[in-house]
Amino acid sequence: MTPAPAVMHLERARLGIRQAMAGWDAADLERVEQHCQMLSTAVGDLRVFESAVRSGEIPSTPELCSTLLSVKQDVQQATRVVDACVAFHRGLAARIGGAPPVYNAEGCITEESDGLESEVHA
Amino acid sequence: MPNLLASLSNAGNAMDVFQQALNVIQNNVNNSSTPGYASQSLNITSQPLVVTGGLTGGVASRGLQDSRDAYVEEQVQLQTQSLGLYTAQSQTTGTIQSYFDVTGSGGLPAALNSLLNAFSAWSVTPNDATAEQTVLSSAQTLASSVNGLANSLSSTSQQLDTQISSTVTQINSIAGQIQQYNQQELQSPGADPGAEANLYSALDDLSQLTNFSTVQQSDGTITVMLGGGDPLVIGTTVNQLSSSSAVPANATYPNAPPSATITDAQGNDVTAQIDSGQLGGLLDTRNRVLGGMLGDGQQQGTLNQFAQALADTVNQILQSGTVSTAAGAASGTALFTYDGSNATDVAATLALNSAITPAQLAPVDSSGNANGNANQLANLGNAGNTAGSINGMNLVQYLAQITSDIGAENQTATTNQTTQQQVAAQATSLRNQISGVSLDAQATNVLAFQRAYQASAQVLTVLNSILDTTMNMMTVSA
Repeated sequence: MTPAPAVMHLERARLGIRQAMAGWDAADLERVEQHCQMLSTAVGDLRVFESAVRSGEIPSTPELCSTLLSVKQDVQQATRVVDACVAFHRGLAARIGGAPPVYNAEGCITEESDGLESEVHA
Repeated sequence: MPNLLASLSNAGNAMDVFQQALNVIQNNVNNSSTPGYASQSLNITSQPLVVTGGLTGGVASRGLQDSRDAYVEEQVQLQTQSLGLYTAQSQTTGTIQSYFDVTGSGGLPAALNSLLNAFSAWSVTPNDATAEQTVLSSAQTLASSVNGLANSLSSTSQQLDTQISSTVTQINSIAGQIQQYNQQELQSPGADPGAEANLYSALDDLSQLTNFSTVQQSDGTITVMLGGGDPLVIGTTVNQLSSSSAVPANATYPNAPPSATITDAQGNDVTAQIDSGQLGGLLDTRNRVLGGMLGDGQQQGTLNQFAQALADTVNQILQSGTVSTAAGAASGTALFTYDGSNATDVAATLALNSAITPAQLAPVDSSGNANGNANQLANLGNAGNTAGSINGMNLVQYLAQITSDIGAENQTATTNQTTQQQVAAQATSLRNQISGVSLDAQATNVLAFQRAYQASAQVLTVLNSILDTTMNMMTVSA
């Protein structure tokens, strides 16, 4: 892996994250799922870049540091938007009357959190 | 025959009920773009049918039901309040930031550098009249620059007072609309979709301006309370707000610029209850950010601290020395003056001592070094120099800190605003998605959405983690 393509992966990740957020529509399930796929692709790109940095192929330049900071800000912003959505629906689930989902330490819904489904099927 | 008539009557009633249902649907279509409108549905129930008992069945209307949900409405209002807060903070701190030159090539930082450079040149040729004159003119420029900044901030403070007053007027006006709804509800109880649409549109407008919560009373009226619980509207009573400026009675600095205060109709101070919405943002910048710089009842203000430390330090050094090394040479004269009777007015009154002449500058220190004082003054901005330091920072560092603080305030507010625009828009979008659909029917969807959001949140966590690792390896500090 030469440095230039690895840097391109960083740029692609940045673009992917921005496109994912531009297309984000919390009310459209299909687009939420597409959003997740786009972010997953960005994860792949960032991993390639991370490997290149780890192996010393990519020198730390002000431009790269600035790009990384920019990507970090985009991800933080996206996280706040998605977290707000998760919180909204967690409250909505409680409002509907189903047991709220149970989250594990990593923030994922656990398999035991089928209270809402049980409520629906009851 | 009676049975036949009953059947005909039933059919007629049913047609009436279905006509009402069609009217409701038509009304929903007509109001699809009406602000605050939530689609209605007609509750239709079947009537008991006992063939042998004379109960002939049929359908009956059981009134209107709207699709509005209190939880969803509250979420939209909360997110709108935050958007109002961040927007106001971003705009107002942006104005303040524009008074500071972050590059250091203009404004106050440049004026301070010029004075230090003038001291430095004077220390090389302490008896040179041109160098002395340059010190005086640089000191004049610096004093004017401090005055100019203090005046700009003060003028911004007054503009914010006007905006606060205007926002309070808007809030009172909306409170009046809610009061009218309550009056109507008490006079003719029952669901009036039009009036209710107006009410919720008014609440949406109110949430842009201030933080509040609502409670629907058993008589159908809406009680609106400010963030801290102080009532704004109860039944048909509006607790009108008003804005004013005042210095607290127990102030450490009684002559300080007054803080903006919001009081209710009983004169209670409710300022602390308003911490979101446009009014919350305006109050925050007016009282916390500007108060921190210009001073208020409890603090001198960073700009005044800077101006006083600068004047006192320079004057003390000059007055401790003499104008020449000759025996009996005159003592130095103060370079700056300011109004010492008001610690919160130092920046606005800082001036070049009108009585000083170039020859009265004292380059000689108390030990008799010909340029000792001039050197001390030239070194005021050096790292590690403790003369005139404030909170462990020398004058240059302290000024940089003031500039950096307002820059950070603005950046945080702007980032928050950008994010909150998305969050508020998505809350509205989710409300629209839910509107018109039974929440019970939505339950399955809610779970599907929750899982989809959670998947995105999980991937974002991974992205964050990779970025942290990579930035750490590249020694990038966030």
